[in-house]
Amino acid sequence: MIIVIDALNRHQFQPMLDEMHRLRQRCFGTVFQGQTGTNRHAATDEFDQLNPAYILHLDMAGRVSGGLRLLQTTGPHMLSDALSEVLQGDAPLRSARLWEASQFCVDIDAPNARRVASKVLVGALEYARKAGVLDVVTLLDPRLDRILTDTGDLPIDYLGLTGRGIVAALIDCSAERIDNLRDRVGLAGDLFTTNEAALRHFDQHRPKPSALPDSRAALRAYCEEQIADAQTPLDRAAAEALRLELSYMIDGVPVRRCKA
Amino acid sequence: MRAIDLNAIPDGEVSCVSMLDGLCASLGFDYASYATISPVTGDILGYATYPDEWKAHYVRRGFHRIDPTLTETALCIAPVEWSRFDKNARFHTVFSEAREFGITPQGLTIPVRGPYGDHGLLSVTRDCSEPEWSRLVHATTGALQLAAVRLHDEVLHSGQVHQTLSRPVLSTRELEILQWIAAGKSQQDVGDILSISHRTVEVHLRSSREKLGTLTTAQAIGRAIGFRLIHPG
Repeated sequence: MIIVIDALNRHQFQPMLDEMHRLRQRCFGTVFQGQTGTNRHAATDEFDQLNPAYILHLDMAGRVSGGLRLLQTTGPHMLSDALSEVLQGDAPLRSARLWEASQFCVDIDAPNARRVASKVLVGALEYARKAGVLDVVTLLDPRLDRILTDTGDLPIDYLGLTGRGIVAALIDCSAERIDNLRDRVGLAGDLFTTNEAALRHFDQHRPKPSALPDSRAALRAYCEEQIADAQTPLDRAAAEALRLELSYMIDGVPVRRCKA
Repeated sequence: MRAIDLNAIPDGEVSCVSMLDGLCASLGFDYASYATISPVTGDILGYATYPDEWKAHYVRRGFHRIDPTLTETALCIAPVEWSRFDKNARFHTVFSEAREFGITPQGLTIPVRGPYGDHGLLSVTRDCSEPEWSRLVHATTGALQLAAVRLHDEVLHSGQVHQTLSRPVLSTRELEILQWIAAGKSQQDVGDILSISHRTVEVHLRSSREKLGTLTTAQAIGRAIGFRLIHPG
């Protein structure tokens, strides 16, 4: 299943994003270290700070097995601000209807790599199309480029340099392109899922948080005892204040300073 | 952080508010607004076709500080339907009061990012049934994206300083394509000459038109010649 994580819902998905960053590190960590002198494919880079939209793929076991991120080309993006060597110093294209996909990572050695990569790409193109975007310039490492862009009768053009490292494939969001990508790996139906379904699927294989530990119950019992034993209104108020102050530890909810 | 109604500045550009009015008329929305944050002062600069009483009320109540259609949509790269703020208390604070001025909580905000970290937000609303709203959004999202970028450029770059700083920078390929078209070749011809698809030619032209701030290719060629980026055909 495919999920979109953006600035508005990322607070629900931090563990999934962390897993994506680890996947990214595994995919790119050693491969491109030497190419540009700095590690362009570190687990997080400055473009992650710009609130991109992330398209993630969850496999049957709820693991993040593919992903990419999307940025507007009118704003700062990799081709304009970090990967000028691909364009050989030339100006980037900028348009409200052109987005950039970058940090496209998939476990390339897995047997279903092409299928996962296609799902992520189709997810990204469908999301972009819905946003009124017509094309996505997609940064691909050469291995991913090979498995994705053998499109037969629907060729893809590239911007800038090809044949040496990362390439910039200009992929349109037309219905024709999307159908072609889907047909090549047999993708039918809606790839997207609800936030809740994705979280459930992701959580199913994670260790469950343990039952309320004894220390919490003991703390609660102590506070309630203090309230019950209070002799004066002042003592009672102090005991209730203590209970409220410790509510984060006892109930796991943020501290409330009054009962309103 | 203050909110400044650009409509109220006597000698300010009128083109933005007429662009917003035109947008509503041609695309079928009730009201439209455009807001950006001045990179220098941090003030929110805005145009809106809303009734004056609502605008005054909005500023008086300091809503520009809490309205999630301003504060949160700016963080996204895709258009944000206001229905995503269904469970947002601040949204309801603002829009329950908006209702009293005849403004519906049904709307869309298109965030646009500029090259230097500048942001703009185009918002549109319409009071109609939900299915009709969905159809309207689906049909107009592309046009709204273009309008958002144009408004952003218009507002941010209307000053003299910005005009000198923002000389458009076109790629070699973009210039090549414009030059061929200035020489009278069709888009299809240009694709054949350069061994790229007709679609790729179109992507480059779209970028050129937006960088040059023009609506049509013919205008783009005119402006490119004016900037001495290409020779006359």
